[in-house]
Amino acid sequence: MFVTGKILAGVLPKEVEHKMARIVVDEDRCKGCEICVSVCPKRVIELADHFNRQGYRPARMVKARAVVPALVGGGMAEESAAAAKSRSENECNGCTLCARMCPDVAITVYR
Amino acid sequence: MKDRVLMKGNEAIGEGAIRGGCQAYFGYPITPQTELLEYMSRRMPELGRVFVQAESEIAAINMCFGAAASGARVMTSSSGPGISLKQEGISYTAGAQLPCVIVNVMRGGPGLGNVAPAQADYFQATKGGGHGDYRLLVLAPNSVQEAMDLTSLAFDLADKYRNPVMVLADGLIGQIMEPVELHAWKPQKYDKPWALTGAKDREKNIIKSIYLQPEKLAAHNEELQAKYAEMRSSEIRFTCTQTEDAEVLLVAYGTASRVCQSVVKMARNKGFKVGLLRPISLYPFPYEPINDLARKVKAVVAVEFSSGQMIEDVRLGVNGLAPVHLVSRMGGIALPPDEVFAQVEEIAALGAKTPSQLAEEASTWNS
Amino acid sequence: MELLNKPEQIVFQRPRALSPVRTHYCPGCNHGIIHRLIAEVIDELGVREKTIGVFPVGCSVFGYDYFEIDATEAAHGRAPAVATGIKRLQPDKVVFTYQGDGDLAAIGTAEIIHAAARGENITTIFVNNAIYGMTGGQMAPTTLVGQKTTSCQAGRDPTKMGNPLKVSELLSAIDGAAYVARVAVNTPANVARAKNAIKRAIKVQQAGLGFSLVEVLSACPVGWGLRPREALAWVTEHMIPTYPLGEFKTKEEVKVIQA
Repeated sequence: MFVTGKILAGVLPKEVEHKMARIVVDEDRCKGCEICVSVCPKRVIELADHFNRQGYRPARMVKARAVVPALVGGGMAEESAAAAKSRSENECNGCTLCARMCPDVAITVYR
Repeated sequence: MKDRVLMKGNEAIGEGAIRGGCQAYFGYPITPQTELLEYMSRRMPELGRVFVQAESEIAAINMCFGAAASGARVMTSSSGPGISLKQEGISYTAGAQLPCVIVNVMRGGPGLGNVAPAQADYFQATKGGGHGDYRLLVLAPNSVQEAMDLTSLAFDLADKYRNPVMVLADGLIGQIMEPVELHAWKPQKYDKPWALTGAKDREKNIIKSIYLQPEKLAAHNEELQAKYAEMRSSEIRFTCTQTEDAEVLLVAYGTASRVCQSVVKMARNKGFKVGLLRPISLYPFPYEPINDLARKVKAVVAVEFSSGQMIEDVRLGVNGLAPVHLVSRMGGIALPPDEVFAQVEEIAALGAKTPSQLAEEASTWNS
Repeated sequence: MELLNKPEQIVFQRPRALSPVRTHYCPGCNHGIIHRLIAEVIDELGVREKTIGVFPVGCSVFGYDYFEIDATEAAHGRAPAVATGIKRLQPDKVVFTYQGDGDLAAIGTAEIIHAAARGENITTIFVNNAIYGMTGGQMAPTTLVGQKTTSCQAGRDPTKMGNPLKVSELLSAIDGAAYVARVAVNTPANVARAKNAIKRAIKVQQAGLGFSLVEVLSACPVGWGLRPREALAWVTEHMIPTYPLGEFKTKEEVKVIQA
């Protein structure tokens, strides 16, 4: 899904999905080796908190950050800029480096 | 008129393999079977078949493994030390249920030994040699004709049972020249849907002998044992010479049996009722025919050119019904008939002893 | 409002020739990467239905469970001989062996040298992780000087245990070897080069130009006592200086063959 939208001042949705690409990790295959985590140039991969059936913490994309609108005027503009900046830094661009390094071929990449 | 050719034993084995449908031969030189390698190096390419002189006997048996996995009829050959090298590969071949013909032209041992004919690889051939619960079907020719015919047969049996088959000859049979009849031979055809031919339009095939789960390995081993049970009921081969009225029974295979044929004649001429049972299949061993005869004779004599290996199987067959004696010679010496006869004569004279005396002697395990 | 609606596409997934099963390999083990590269090459060359693999004794003993091809086991070190038997009977098939450093560089030295010497048209993928993985981390012929393993606990001492064996250099000296290359899979760039080398090697086989071997430096996190990410770095810092990457043998006729 590839959606861009201009954010109208004063109106901020709870979550904006800015995804050019995404990965899907097959939890059952992942062994939590963290090679993908270390190789992702965008740092959008982390290990989950739960364990899979083999007892490993599988890798997953970091959750998109929820954007909370400031209630007080003036603070919103700063937050939204900061939030927008951090969102753009944490975007999967479908480079497939994670998938190419994954020893378990657990990652499928969509773009 | 059938063709009769004068052939050397080793070459007859090679020709027997070719007539048996051998598609690939992998070998290595070692006396006294090197002529077989050389013969195959000439004949196999002539026929567009595969020949490789491998870098070792180990490599040769593993090449056989690969070629057999491809569904081909394959053969390798060696003598004592080389057969010892092949044991792991043979165990793998049996475990993976691959057909393969292995020729052992026995020489003196142990270790480097000598190149003279001996029969001291009997245990290795029939009781294992390699690790694990497997058996080889073992055929022992005693003439150049038989060397050829049994080798051809070996390929059919290997395919039939998906098991390695050993042709166990010795240096004498490998080296002598005798007239050989090239009668018609038609190899049996066996389908091999398990072969590795490329996973096209079917599920992939895997050739392996490993089953990590003990229950699975147990089931696999039971499958193997069932094959050996079938061999025991269907593939026993032996000949009898003048055993109907024999009082002394000789048991011998291979070259020793040739000597014993003469001994039977010499004995009969002197009035001793001696007969010969000659096992052709050493595994499965003809226990029952020996047992039947043991009831009727006064003594059984195992004649072999070793410290006494086949005699243990003879004793199992006799099962206490008669005393079992050993006439043997080690070192690659094939005892001539008169020497064997002298010992047999002594044993035959024992026939005058009382049953309790015989029983006492039978319990002396000094052979 | 700008709206770009492009249907989502898969840009990376498991190759067809790789079986959709979990592997038994340790987390971070590079076997998985190497298996995948081989499978990708098989897919791209369209040879899945005529490829036969020969798997060793070692961690990859069950490799045949992970590929959708006909395959066989081989006794320790003897895969090149088994492959010879297969290829001589079926010259039209793509036959490869997959071997570790115990299998190839210890017990199997005769078989690999002679398969190369005979110029057998087979391809060997040689996984060099400087250790015996399956049996718990003992010294291998490829273990580095000073590297600690369970059977050289004070570190490899060259005066007593010799120096590491450099297989690619060794085999390059053999006339029958048409293509010998050493690669690694510790970085994405190296992974791409490794795949090219494997593809080239298979093409060399298909062209009937002789024996081909690709040595792949591989991380063994559990054997080395390192986390997977650290193990990849160890390949860079320690293995590559001893085992330089590159193509060590490219026969004249091979030069026109590109990945």
